[in-house]
Amino acid sequence: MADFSRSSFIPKETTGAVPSRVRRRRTFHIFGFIATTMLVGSLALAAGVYFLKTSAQKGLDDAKQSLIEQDNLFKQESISEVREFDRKLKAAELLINNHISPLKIFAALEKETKQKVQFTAFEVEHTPTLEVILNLQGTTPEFKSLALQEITFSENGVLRDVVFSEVSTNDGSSPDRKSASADSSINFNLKGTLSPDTIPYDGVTPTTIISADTNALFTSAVLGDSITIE
Amino acid sequence: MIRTITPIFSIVIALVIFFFFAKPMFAEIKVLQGETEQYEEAAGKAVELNQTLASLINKKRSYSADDLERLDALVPSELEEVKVLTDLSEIARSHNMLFGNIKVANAENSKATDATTDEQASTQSLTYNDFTTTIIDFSLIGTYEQFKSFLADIEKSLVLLETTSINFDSGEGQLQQYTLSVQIYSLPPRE
Repeated sequence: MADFSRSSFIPKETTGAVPSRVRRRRTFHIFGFIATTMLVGSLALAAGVYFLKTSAQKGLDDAKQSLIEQDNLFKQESISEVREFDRKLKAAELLINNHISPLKIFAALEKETKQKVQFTAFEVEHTPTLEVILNLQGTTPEFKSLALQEITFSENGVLRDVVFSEVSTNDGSSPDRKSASADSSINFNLKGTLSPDTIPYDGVTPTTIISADTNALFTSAVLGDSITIE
Repeated sequence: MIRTITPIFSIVIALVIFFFFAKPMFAEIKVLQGETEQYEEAAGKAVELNQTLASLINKKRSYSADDLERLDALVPSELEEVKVLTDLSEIARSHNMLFGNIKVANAENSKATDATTDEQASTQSLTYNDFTTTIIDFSLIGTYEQFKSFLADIEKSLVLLETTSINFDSGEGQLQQYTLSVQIYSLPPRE
């Protein structure tokens, strides 16, 4: 007869057997933790730096490309064109700013010359940007007029550094006398300077010296290709 | 044993990564960023320059053809003395004056250059020395009124005629001889 043992869900304990669950003691290695953190950190840092470098390289390439594009837009001919035009404008400005109107000298002289003073020779020298030098020879019947003329030129401010020289009477007598004799006249030289600023060309013809007839002449004076009256 | 070696090995690897990879790469990044900044700055300036250039070209193109023609007449690249003489003669003829004793010479601009002060030189990039100057001496015979009309015409000539010398004596009659010097200028293109 077979031995029939009674089965039970309660595990049987056998004396001296090893327990199935062994309680293991957990240990924490601080050195290992630091090492792992450092390794992971350095790997993460390396990845980050690599990403940054790629990004910086891309930024540099973009900036280079942008510069190349701008450089391609830059045309040497355009610069030359603009520079030459600017140079011409500056040249025109320089010439116009220093352009004088000799007619204004005559206008000033006609206005300021005393009735009894007559100029017999006229000489004007002008170097652009420099003062205008005026040399005149004249004659007057009396010293009083000459003195008045000197005062007028000194006061009106048009002529500067006015010097009367070589004053003589045409009959050979000494100019020390208060007045010349009735039939003699007094000759003199006058030298003065004019600032170019006082006689600039401004497109306005001095009205005191232009008669209606001469105005009519201007209008028909559009001549040639190179000289065109404005 | 292996428990001791592994952390040491990890630290060594971490240090190697930091000192031989990350740190040099940081330096490279800084250099790259510096270069990028320079390129960006240059590109920015180039953009600015291109915009300025474009606006200047537009400004130039905004001048009418007439204005440009007048500017070319005022500041020609080359002097055409014969044309100017022909026109002077025509103006004299139109005022019933006799025109002659013509002398044409090239000027040395030393006087005008001396006169240009340092201040002028700094404010104006051009001086008279940059121009090619020709002096035309000539004489006219006519009345005083005719002479003034002649002067009025030449001083407003589009080809700038700078009167540098006038000389005359008053004679007995109405007709007098006037001796004049005028300067004409051209601006040769820059080499």
